[in-house]
Amino acid sequence: MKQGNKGILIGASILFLAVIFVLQRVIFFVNDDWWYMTNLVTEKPLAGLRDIWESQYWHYFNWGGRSVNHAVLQLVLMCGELVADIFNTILCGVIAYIICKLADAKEKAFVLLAGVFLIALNPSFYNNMFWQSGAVNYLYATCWIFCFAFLYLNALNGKMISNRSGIVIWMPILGLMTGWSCENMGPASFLFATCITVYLWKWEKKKPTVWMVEGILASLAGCLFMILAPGNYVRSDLIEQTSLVQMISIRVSSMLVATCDFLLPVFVLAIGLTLVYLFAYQKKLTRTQIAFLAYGIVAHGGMALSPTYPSRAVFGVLAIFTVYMISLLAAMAQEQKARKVITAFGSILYLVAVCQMIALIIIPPFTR
Amino acid sequence: MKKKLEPIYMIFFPLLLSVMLVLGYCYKLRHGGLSGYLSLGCSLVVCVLAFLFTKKWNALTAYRCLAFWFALSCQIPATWINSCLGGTLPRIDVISSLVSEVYILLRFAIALALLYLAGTKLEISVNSRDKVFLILGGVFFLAGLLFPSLLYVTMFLFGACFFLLCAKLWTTVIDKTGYGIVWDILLFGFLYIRVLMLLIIYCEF
Repeated sequence: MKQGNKGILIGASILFLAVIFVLQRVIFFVNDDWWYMTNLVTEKPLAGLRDIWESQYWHYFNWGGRSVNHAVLQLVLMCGELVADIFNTILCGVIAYIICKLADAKEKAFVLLAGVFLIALNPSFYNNMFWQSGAVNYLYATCWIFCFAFLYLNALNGKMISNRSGIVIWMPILGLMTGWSCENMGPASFLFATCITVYLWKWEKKKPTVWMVEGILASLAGCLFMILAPGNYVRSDLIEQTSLVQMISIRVSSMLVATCDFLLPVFVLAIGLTLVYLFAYQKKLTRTQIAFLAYGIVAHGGMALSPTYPSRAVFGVLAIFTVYMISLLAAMAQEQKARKVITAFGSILYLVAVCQMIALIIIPPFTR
Repeated sequence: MKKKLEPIYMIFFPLLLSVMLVLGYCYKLRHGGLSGYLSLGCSLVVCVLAFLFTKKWNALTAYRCLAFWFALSCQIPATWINSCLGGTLPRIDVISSLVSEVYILLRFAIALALLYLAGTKLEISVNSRDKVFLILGGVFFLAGLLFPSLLYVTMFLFGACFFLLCAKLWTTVIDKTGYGIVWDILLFGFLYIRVLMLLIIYCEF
């Protein structure tokens, strides 16, 4: 990369993170944040870890199964708005970096492009990256889910981590957190890990290591804890008083809206890039790309089992497809002419993302 | 191969027009007026423009243009209809207009970037007429930003310029790769899923 281009890239990245941070500061704790800032049993402000434990115990049996996410949320809320905003901004950078690691895109420009994708192609970036409850449930959770996926992806690419590196101790925790994260991403991640392990075992004759099995079992346990939480059923009894036909109709509608409206730009771009990659560039999809394509489809399809598919819930699917698209773009960018088009396209998307954030800074959705 | 595929293509076009007619009728039932039919009329005008633009009197390019429009535009048919009537739905404030326009621009940017990306590999050159449409589209887009009262009209013209360009590039890419049916099935498949969504959601079937 030329020196001048490097300067532009660094400047653009700093500006991007600065705009994210300013928007984080503009958006304060609101709605559910206030509820989670209290001990859900006593309704008094959180004072320590004991309050979080009590709250999540009650939450699990009376409201919903996302105990891990909400425990992390309560921890962050206890730290105050400034610290939460700093965490959110850092994690926006971290997830863009992890996406590039997963996509095996070595150039720094792709880290910025991944960050831009997550804002510009996101139908509800305010709700899943800036609003605190949404940020923890989607942005934070996707970070640890991708760390989990990264380990299996490395194994698929022949970079197997040995059991001696201490992974056997922390893998059950990471696996449990992954499975116990979101209703679609948890099970999809469990399937992702299982398919890779089975593939390596059956087709490549590589015996699964202890940490791989631990990860699969822990993520499965996490999924079961989340889906079978008594609170889910208490809440669905309160909300979903519909017949089977109505329920199916609602779920078909919500899937169609999510596919053709919320995720329309993502799918158009992903399908289009695949066509260009296969037919114009005459390249074949790698195992990593196929794995992420399947992972994304399963994560999206999994939402058919959910009573609703709000626009904020697309974050995990968007992040997976971003990995896939960055991987394709990185492969195409090896040609000089393609680099120019990708740079021009990335610049337009950068402007789109910055304009959208500045619009929210000028007119925030909530005022104090 | 092309001869064999022609009947399949010839089904797409009337089907597309029929679907639009149904949507226009549904919209009329829900909201009254002739707006749905007006949108159909406007799309036919664009269709004719596509014939003229390609200089081939090529029906394929014309309905690919429509397919792009339908598959990528926001809030159809409401946006179309409003563009035809000069905007009769409640006005949105300037910032919302800006955000929605930027989001519309994103979809065009995606379509064009993909086609140019394919073009670089297939050595498809952009001629002066393509550039005129590109610049015209940009002018209409900027006009929409500067004069929000003309938003719907400018968006309609912006869409017409860019989708004509998309359709022309798409046809060229298909000719060069020789995988026409695969590309078109994906485009039209996506389009019909979207139309299904519209029938269910907007027309409350």
